[in-house]
Amino acid sequence: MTHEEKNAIVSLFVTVLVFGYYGFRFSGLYAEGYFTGDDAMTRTGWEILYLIGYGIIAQIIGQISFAIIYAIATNDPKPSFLVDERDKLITLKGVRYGYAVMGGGLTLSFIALAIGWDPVIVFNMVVFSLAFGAAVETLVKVALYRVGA
Amino acid sequence: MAKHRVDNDIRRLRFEHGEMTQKQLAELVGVTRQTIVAIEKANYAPSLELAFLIARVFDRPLEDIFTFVPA
Repeated sequence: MTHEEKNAIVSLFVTVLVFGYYGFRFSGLYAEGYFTGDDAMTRTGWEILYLIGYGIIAQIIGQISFAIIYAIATNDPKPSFLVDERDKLITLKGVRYGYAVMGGGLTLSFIALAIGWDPVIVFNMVVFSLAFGAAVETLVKVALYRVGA
Repeated sequence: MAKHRVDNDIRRLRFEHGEMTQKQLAELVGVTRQTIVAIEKANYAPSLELAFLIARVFDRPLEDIFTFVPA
């Protein structure tokens, strides 16, 4: 398994966990009416800033933990961090699919805004479009690595 | 739509060069072992630069190692 493939698997796992937690937290707060009133967007902004913060921390912890566990499991004290031309090509293919999904999600978000949906919901649709795009990008990368493309 | 393919003789050449492993070849040309695996299986067509590096390892001209197979 290459360094990039390991990164992709960990990234996918952490992304699902972080956004799963965020979605669960957001839906609870929304049901309680936390995102109502004049400062609804301010609160939404802070929630997303927290998401970015713990998302970055979770990725760092996930990558380091996986690197340690993988090194112990494979008895390889000096794992390779090499990224070669095939890794870059696979990343580009993943990005292409990720952008397509993200673009679709953004379009749906703006349609939702245009037909009068709550801006707090639309703002979160944008965030989840970015997350879903990133997840698809990583999923495509993992799939291409698995089929040996 | 059928795709072109780039076949190669890397596997045979590795064995003719002291049973060189995929890992050793990968280290010599600066790629991962998985990339050498993908090239040998003709799943991945290497860049011209990488193809020349591989040819240099075996001290052979490019066309002795890689064959273009049209669709």
